[in-house]
Parts: sequence; structure tokens; C-alpha cells
Amino acid sequence: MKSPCLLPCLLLLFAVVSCVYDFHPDWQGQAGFVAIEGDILVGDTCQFEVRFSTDLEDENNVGEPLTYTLRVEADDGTVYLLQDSIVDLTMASLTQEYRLVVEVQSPFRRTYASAWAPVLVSPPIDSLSYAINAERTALDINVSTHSDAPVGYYRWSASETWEYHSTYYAEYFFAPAGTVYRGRVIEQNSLVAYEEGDNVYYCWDSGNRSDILLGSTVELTEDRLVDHCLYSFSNTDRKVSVVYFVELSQIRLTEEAYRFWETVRNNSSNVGGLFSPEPSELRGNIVNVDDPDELVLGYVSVSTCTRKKIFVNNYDTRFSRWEGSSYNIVEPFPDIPDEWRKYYGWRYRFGWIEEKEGGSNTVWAPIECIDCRASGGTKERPWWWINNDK
Amino acid sequence: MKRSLSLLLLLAALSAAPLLSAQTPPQEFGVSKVESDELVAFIRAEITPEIYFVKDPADNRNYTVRAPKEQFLEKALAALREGGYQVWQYDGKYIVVRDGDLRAVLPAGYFARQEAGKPAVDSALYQDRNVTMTFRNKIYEIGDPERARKSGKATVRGYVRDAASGEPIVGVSVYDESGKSFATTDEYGYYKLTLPVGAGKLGFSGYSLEDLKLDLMVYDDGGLDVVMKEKVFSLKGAVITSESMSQHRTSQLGIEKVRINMIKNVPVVFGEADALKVVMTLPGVKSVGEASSGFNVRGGATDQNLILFNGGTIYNPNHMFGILSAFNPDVISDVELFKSSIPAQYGGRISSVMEVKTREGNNKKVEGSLGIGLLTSRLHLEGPIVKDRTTFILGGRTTYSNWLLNLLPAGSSYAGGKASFQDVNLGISQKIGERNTLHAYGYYSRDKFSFSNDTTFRYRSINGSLKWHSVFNDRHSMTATVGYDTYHYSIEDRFNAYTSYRLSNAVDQGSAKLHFKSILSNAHTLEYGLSGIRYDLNPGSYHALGDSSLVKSRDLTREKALEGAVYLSETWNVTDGLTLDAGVRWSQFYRFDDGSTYGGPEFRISGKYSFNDVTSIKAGFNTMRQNIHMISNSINVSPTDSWRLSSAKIRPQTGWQAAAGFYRTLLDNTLDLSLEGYYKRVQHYIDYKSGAVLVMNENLADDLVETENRAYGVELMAKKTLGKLNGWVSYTWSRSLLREMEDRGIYTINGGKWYNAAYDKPHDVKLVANYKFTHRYSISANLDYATGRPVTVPISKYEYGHGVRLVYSDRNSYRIPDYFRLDLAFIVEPGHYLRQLTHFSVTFGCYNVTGRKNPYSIYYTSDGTVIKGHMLSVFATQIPYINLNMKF
Repeated sequence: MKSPCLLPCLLLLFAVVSCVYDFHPDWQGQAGFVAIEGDILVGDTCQFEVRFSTDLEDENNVGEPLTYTLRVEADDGTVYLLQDSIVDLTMASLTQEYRLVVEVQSPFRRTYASAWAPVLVSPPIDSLSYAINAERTALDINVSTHSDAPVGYYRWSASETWEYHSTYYAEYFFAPAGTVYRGRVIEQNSLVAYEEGDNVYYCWDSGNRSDILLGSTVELTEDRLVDHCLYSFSNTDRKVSVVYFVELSQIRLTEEAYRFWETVRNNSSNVGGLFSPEPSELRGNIVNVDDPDELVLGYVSVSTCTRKKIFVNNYDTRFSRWEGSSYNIVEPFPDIPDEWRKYYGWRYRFGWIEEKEGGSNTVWAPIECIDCRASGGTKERPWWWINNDK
Repeated sequence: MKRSLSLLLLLAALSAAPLLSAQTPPQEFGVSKVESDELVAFIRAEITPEIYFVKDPADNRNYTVRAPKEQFLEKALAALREGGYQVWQYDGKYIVVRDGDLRAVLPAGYFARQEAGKPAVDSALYQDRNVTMTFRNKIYEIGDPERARKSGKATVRGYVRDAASGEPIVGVSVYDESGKSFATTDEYGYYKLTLPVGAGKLGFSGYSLEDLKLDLMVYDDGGLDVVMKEKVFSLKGAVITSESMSQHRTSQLGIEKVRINMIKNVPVVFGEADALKVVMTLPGVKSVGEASSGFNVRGGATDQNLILFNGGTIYNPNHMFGILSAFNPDVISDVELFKSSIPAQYGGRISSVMEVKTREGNNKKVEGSLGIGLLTSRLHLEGPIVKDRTTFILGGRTTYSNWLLNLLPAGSSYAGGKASFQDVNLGISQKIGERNTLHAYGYYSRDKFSFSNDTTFRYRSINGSLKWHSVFNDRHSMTATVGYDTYHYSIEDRFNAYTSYRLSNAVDQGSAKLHFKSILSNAHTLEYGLSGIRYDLNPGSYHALGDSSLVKSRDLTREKALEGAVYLSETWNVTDGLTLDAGVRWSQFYRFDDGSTYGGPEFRISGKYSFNDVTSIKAGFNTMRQNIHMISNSINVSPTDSWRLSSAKIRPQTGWQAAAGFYRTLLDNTLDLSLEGYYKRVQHYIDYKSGAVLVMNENLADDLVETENRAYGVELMAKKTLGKLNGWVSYTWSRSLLREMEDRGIYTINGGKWYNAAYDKPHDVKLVANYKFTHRYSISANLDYATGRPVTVPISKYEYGHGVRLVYSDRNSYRIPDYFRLDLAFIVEPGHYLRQLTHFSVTFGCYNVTGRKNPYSIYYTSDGTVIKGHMLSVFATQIPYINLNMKF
């Protein structure tokens, strides 16, 4: 009922005096719940993951290793096995019921199965678009879809790729003795100019959105979502600073699945405020067939999947380009390398040479300002990218 | 400040002078067989020139008075009284006149009361004879001397009113100095007590009033109306208060009363005097956190409190989602909280009854006040419409709190957020004859909060009621009330034109009540009556907003029901020390739309035994039923909460409480110590299944679970109501636990075991104190310490859907860090220069002086792949404030 893009932050009233602090728990967490992730996408290929939950303080989220086999079963007896880490259901029938069966071999032997469920059909995505609010402070990604089927529930997952650049374009870089550039060994510490096409200005990064994207038409007169807001960016977000790309996958959910995902969403992002709902645990539709009391994390939906892609180009949005973190320390640098090490450490790189009256200055900047790779991206440009940046 | 201090000392010295002059050595002298005028002339010459005398031509009596000099005056005046003269003392002067000569100065019928059971011929005479007390040191004669009883007891009754405004004063203690007779004035200022025939002294005392002691000569049953002055300064160290006395007089347990004087002194956030926040400083009252106006009484839930405002039910007592309560301090007279012994006339909620009353308007002159605080500005006016007969009081508040939102960074998506509220109170009282009073009350409160023009929250309360109070005779009175209360809440969301909606819910109720009080004898008082509430609830309406909205408009079935009750209770003063109260209430609930009906008896029993005037013990037991339930999935009272009635699937909540206490008054009746313990059980309290849909759910009952509540605790309190230092300090140890009643296997909350309620804070220390340096300058402190509240915390995390998710298990198993807060305020009251047209008072204060970052909640968020623990502190810093008030 509530749009995720609207953050009705009642806490706002208290924002002037309220404060949020980091908190480190002093209780013992509990690892070792089995989580099974993945949906049965009929007419598609699907991927599943089985893993253990971890302690709260475990930083890398990698639980104890599990070995398992899994299969998707149709109620006519057809079995689809896992091959090359995918289950191929491209030829599966829409009229069957399906379930997922996971057999864990170690560290224990248990069999988990999801409840049998018929195939829900996801309608095509009518449009995937973006909208900028009137104040030009935010950019929303919106989806529209409709069907003749009765009203129902939707879930989306989004796979993003974005191009961005560093604040300043570095024409030179500092190469310590021994650096190899374009097959050439630099023999002593020196400033080296980037050659044509080489830069650490443009980068690409990608990932899957971690937000739980849900939609419902049950309160509407028909199964139609128009410009349903999925998520928002602030106009300073790096992801929309140059070119942003997203591929959206849409499936349909049952009411039970929707409630499950909504609870997961509330529990992980919508807690702690003055009027936030209390967190609560909700069991999914997967059970240990020999011990139904075991808490198994996850929900397996059976649906077809429809997809849509969109590019958002800064050329169109006309947001001011991302200016990065506001380091103020770009300044003429007195002497080269030793001094640089002495005063600024490894975080500074050479930027460009500034022409001034009576000579020129070498300008130095923090690495985040001149090397886009320092912000997590790479120089690997997708082959299908829409502009000519390199 | 220096100037007013010296002025005060001067006044004190002047007032003490007569006491000093009484210390002269004894000397025998006198007169014999002289006429009254000669006697007075002798007094004038020998003792005091300040005696005024009007000789009655009919008086030819001879007087003989012999006594030591310091006793002579007293004897002489006694002799004159015997001779049929009235003796008045005023400001050191004596006025001696024959009966009735001063009648003309008394407002006709002002305080007079018909005396039933007297011959009509006599009544006019005695009405006047026993009129208003005007001067001290006069001997007031009660009853007809001609028909004086030789011995035994007589009944004295009358009204106590404020000298300046003529308003009735509630809760004044009236007591016989020699015996054990005691009474407290009721809400109309009326008292009645039994005194031994003969000479006696009657004391009157009340909070912030000048203590009054009157000499009486009781002949027979009669009336005595009294006016009391507000205390300007106290010459005596100790004054007995109604509260301190009444603790040993009533058998009821767990009653707390806070007057507006105290409410205005307690420092609160942003400095807005707030009745609800002060109630939360009482022992046994807790809340889940700051900025929450929902409160929990003795381990009960927030919806188990009946909040009455002049008899009307308030469903949301908050402004701005809990920053402020919806009661305007300018018009409130007092707040009374019943947390254990709930009188049989009240029902419908399990935990407590909180009664907020407004004042009656001044019946002498029009006056008002203007107040400016950080969040609100207030205006109030009161006065007579028809002098001494019809009065009004009108109060209004509005906010300009948008500045708070404007402090947020420009360009943040909060821009355009607006918050506003208003409330208006109106009270009109009309005297009809001498025995009837009609009161009309109106209350309107609205709140609006909008977010970026897309979402607007609104809620409003409207209450209206008429109350007719009628005194049939000395022993029987009646109060009839009719009222209408409504609470509406709505949210409008226009973020997306295709899904724009308006969601609303409402509670409308009409109520009527007929209450009788009959004093059968000195030992037996009956209260009985009947009441009815007709509920009409809209549990949810969901409507499309705008032409392009695809929202399917629908309304949940309106919930209509009738809740009726009859009740009878008796107070039996078995002996001077032993008092028993027993009441029974039958409440019957019938729901029209599904035909479900629930009913049952409720019992209210309590008893008190006083070992002496300062030591008492009490015990009580009561049962309660509740048919209206708040549906909420947040621990705080949130504006989106809706109310639902019991139905075929939702059973009424039922509960009982047993309590016992020990009370002792120390230090010249200025310090009350109390120790109360209680044990409480509640059945069918509503909780929610995981993933429950609470909004617009036609089959809500399927998402609910029933729990039982077990609460127990001990409250220790020391309260000082008078003197330069007043206030209270309390320590409470208490627990409140819940358990799901049904076994749903693995889905049962906490496996069917007891778990902590969200407001279970075992240790709790509260201090509210005000110290008056002088009459004008005082300082107030408010201290609050409590164990951290229980919260539900995650036990594990896992990667799912490209993010890290949390696993929650047992409910409320962890506690956030303890809570501590100290607030201070410095209050400057207006000077008492009578000629001054306006009087200013200023309050400077600071909330959370130590700046402690008290946690409100602990929670986790997942930022992509990282889980972070956070602690939210609502008022994480010192909040200074200033509040300006002008009286005119």
C-alpha cells in the first residue's frame, strides 16, 4: 500500500534533536540455520543457493560450507536436475505444479522441499522508465505492467551497471622506479603521461540491487501498475552520474509469498523508528521433510519471468556530474616523490600540470579524486555500452 | 529579586506582630453590672481602641466581666455574644453588632443553601445566620440555638469556594480539630461532616490555600459556606493538605492526583506544560520511550487506559505524534489517575482511568492569559457571563512548529514537510437555582502533518458533553451526563496519481450516564447509576483520490455496538478507623452487526484500616472488562493505530488486580510515605501473528492471537505536598509478562513461554521536585531512571535476495541500556501588584540536562551486504527552552 520511494519518515519531526549511533551487540548470535534461495522460473533457467546463516558479527557472511544436490520436480513426475549450477526449465510446462528438493550431504544429511505450487504467469513489463521529481533532487525508477488476470502480487529483481568518472582527469601519474607501463619499464621515479585512450577517469561497476522490490494490485480495480516506483536515487548518487543501466526481472507472487517478503523487508530495513513495526519471524514454504519444526529460511515461488532494460543517461537527466567527496586539498605540490610520501602518503596521486604565470605547478589530489578504480569500479567497459567513453 | 525578598520579610514581620504583643504579664481587673456600651468603652480605654460597636436600643442587659488583663477581652466578647451580639474581628479590629446588622453586605443568596427538613419560617433566618464565613476569629453558630441539642452530634455542610474567583474548590480537607471527623470537598466544593454538639474548631486546608481554622458553636444541623484565599506566603511551617489527609481517609488504592500548579512546574521537553508527561512521572506509570504519549499503567497495555476529558473519551491524547499532549494547561484544573481501585462508576478499560478536568471560569471578573512557548502559543479567557451565575472558560492553542522542520537541510527530500495542530476548549457553567448546575463542555483538537506535499496525515478529536448536577437535599444528589466523542484519522497519499488513496478510520461514540449519590447515614454512602455507550466505528475506509487513481474504493464493515452498565457501590465507615468499599458493576456488550454479546459482573472491593491519623493499611481487589481494542503493530502509540470492537471472533479482554498498601504520614503531616504492591492478570489481550495485515483487513481476527498478561510490582513513594520544597520521589519494582494463550505449534510466540512486555522495565526511580526560594522564584527538577526496555533482536544473519537479511527469534529477549534523564526549570512567577494590569511569568528550562544519549531502540539495517547495529536516541542532547506567559 505504501510506495517504497516515499519514505514517510515520521521520525523527521525529531530529526533536529535525535541521533543514531552505532551499536555493537553483546549477545551471542546463532549460526547454522539453512537458507535456500531461488525461484522456480518456468520457461527460464534458474539458479539456487543453499547456505548457512552466520553469526551477527561474522564480517564476510560466509557460513560453514555445505554440500548438496538439488532438483526441481514437476507433479507429472518430471525431474529437472542441476547442471552447470543452473536448472534448465526452458521447456517446462506451464500447467504443472512444481517444487524444489534439496538434499544436503554434509555437514549433515537432510532433505528439504518447498511446497508444491502451480505456475503463476508474469505479464510483460509495459515500461521501465525514470522520473525526476519537481525539485530535481531525486530520480525514481518506475515500472508499469498490467494483465487481464485477477489482481495479485509482484516481485522484481534488478541487475544494475553504471558508468561513472573520477572528479578530476589525471593526465599524469606518478610511477615509482620499476613500474611497467605499456610494456615499458620506468627506471626511476617520475611523472608519466597517460597515452591516448588510457585513463583512470571512466569506470564501470555493476551489481544486483539488495532492496526487496514488491508490488501489489490487490487494492486496485484491475491488475495494473502504472509508474510504480521501485527505488530512488538522489541527484548526487554516483550511479546516475554518467550512464546507468538496469535490467529488471519480474515474477508474480502468491499472497503468502508476498507477506513473507514484506516481513523480510520490514525486518531488515524498516525497523527501529518510533512507529516502526516490531520485527517478527515468518516461516517460508520450505521444510525439512523429516523435521517440519526446523526453521528453514527462504521462500521458493513458481512463476514465469519477464524482463525489461533501460539506460538512464546523464545527457538526458542533466544532473550535474558527480563531484565525488569534497576533498579540499588539491593544491600545488612543492617537490616530487619523497616529499609526497612524507606528507601525503599513498593516498595521493599526481593529477595534472597547471599552467601559471611564470611557470607551471604540478597539482596533486587524493586518489579518490583522480582514480575511478579507487571507488570500486573497473575499466571493463561492457561491450553493449551505449556511449563512447573508454 | 532583592526588593521582593525584603518586601516579603516586612510582610512576615508585620503579620507576626500581634502574636508578640500577646506576651504581657497577667493583671486582674474588670467591670461589673455595666451596660454593653460601657463595657465596650472600657475595652476601648484599657485594651484596644480598635473596637466598633453599635448598641441595640433594645439591649438593657447588664454585664459583669472579671479576668486577668490578657484574658479580659476574650471574656468580654464572650459576654457580648451571650448578650446576642455578633463579634467580628478583622485586621486587628473588632466589630460588635447585634444579630443581622451586617446582613446587607452579603450578596443575596450567594452561598445560601436551603436547609431541608426545617420549618419554612426558620429557613430564611438560618440561611443568613450561617452564611458565608467572612472573617476569622468569629464564632460561627451552627443550627438554631433555640433548638440546641444537649449532646450528640450534628451535621454541618456547605460549600468551599475561592475568595478571588468564586470557583468551587475541590479536595479541600475539612476536619474537626478535636475529634476524628473528616471530609473532603467534592468536585462542586461541597462538604458534609458530623461534629459533636457544642464548641469546637473546624479546620479547612487545601493545596496552595491559606489554612483556615474557624471556631464553631454547634447547636444543631446547619450549613457553613466558606471562602478560602490562595496562599500568598506561608507563615506556618506546615499546612495539612487534602491529599495527605485523604490517603488515610479513603479506602481506595492507587489513586494519584496532580494539580495544574504542579503540572506547570514540571520541566518537560520544549517547555510546554503537559499533563500527560507529568502523569508519566508517577510511580507505576511507564512508557516505551521518549516522545511517546502512550503510557502503561502497572504493566497494562496502552489501550487499557480510559482517558476522560471532562467525561468525554479521548482516543488519541497526542499532538504531533506524541511530542505534546492534547490538553491545554491553561484550562486544566487537575488530573486524576486511578491505577488500582477504579470506582464502580467507571469501566470499559482494564488498567486505569485517567480523568482530566478543566476549571470552571472565574465568576467575578473576566480575565485571561497569553502564552508563548517554543512550539505553541496559547490564549485563554474566562469570566462571568452573568455574574455569579454563568461562567465560561475558553482556551485555544496553535502551533508554529514548522520552524522545526525548516531547520532541516534545504534540498533534502524533507523540504515541504509541514506540521501543525490546534486545539480549543470551551466550558460553560450555569447555576440554576441553588441546587442545580449545568455544565457544557466542548473540545476540538486537530493535527496535520504533511510530507513533501505527497502524503498528509490528519487526525482530530471532537468531544461535546452536557452535565447536570443536582443536589436533591443534604443526602442525595444526582449527576446526569450526555456526550458525544469522535476521533478521526486519515492519511492521503498522492505520490503516484494511479495509486493515490485516502485511508481513514474513525471512532464515534455517544454516551449517557446517570449517577446518584446517597448518604444514607454517617456510616453508609451509596453511589449507583447506569451508563451506556453506543459505539459506531469505521475500522477502515480506503478510497481512490483523483480521477486517474486505479484504487478500488472500499469500506470495512462499520462496527456498531451498545455497551451498557449498571453499578452500585457502597462506602461503609465501620468504625473511625475502618472503612470498606464494595462495588459491583454489570456491563453488557451487544454488537449489532454480528449479534455477538458479552456481559459479566465486575467487582470493586477495597478496605482501609487506620491505626491512627497518620498510619493506615489498605487492601483491594477489582475485576475489569474491555470491549474496545487498539490495533497496532508498533510498540509506540502511533497515529495509524485503529480501534476495533469485540466481535464473535475477538473476545473481550478481562482482568483482575489485587493490591495492598501501607501509608504513613510524617513531619507534621507534610510528608506522605506509601508502599503499594499489586498482582494483576489479564486474559485475551491482543497480539499479532507474524506478517499480520492490520490495515483494511476484513478478516482481521485471523491475524490476531490472544495473550495473557501477568504483572506484579511494588511502588514506594514519598510525597511532600506543602512547604517550600514539594514534589515526590518514588521507586518501583515491577514486571509485566505476556504469554500466548493458544498453542500454535512452532508458530506460537516464544514457544508458548512467558515473555517480557515491551514496557517491562523492572527498576524505576522518579523524582519530581519544586523548590520555592520566594513566592516568585522557584526551581523544578525532574529525574527519571529506568531499566532499559526489552527489544527483539536478531540472532543470525544470512544472504538472501542479494542482501543480508536477519533472523529474529524470541520476542523482547534483550534489553536496551538503562534510561536516565534530568530536567531542570527555573520559574519566575508574576509579582502581586494588584494595580498592575498584566502579570508575566517566565520559565527557563533545560530538558535532558546531562545530555545523555538515552537509547529509544536498537535495530539493524542491512546496507547491501553489511549489517549494521544502530541505537536511536530521540532527544540526544540538552534541549533548552523558554516559555512566556502573560495573565490579564
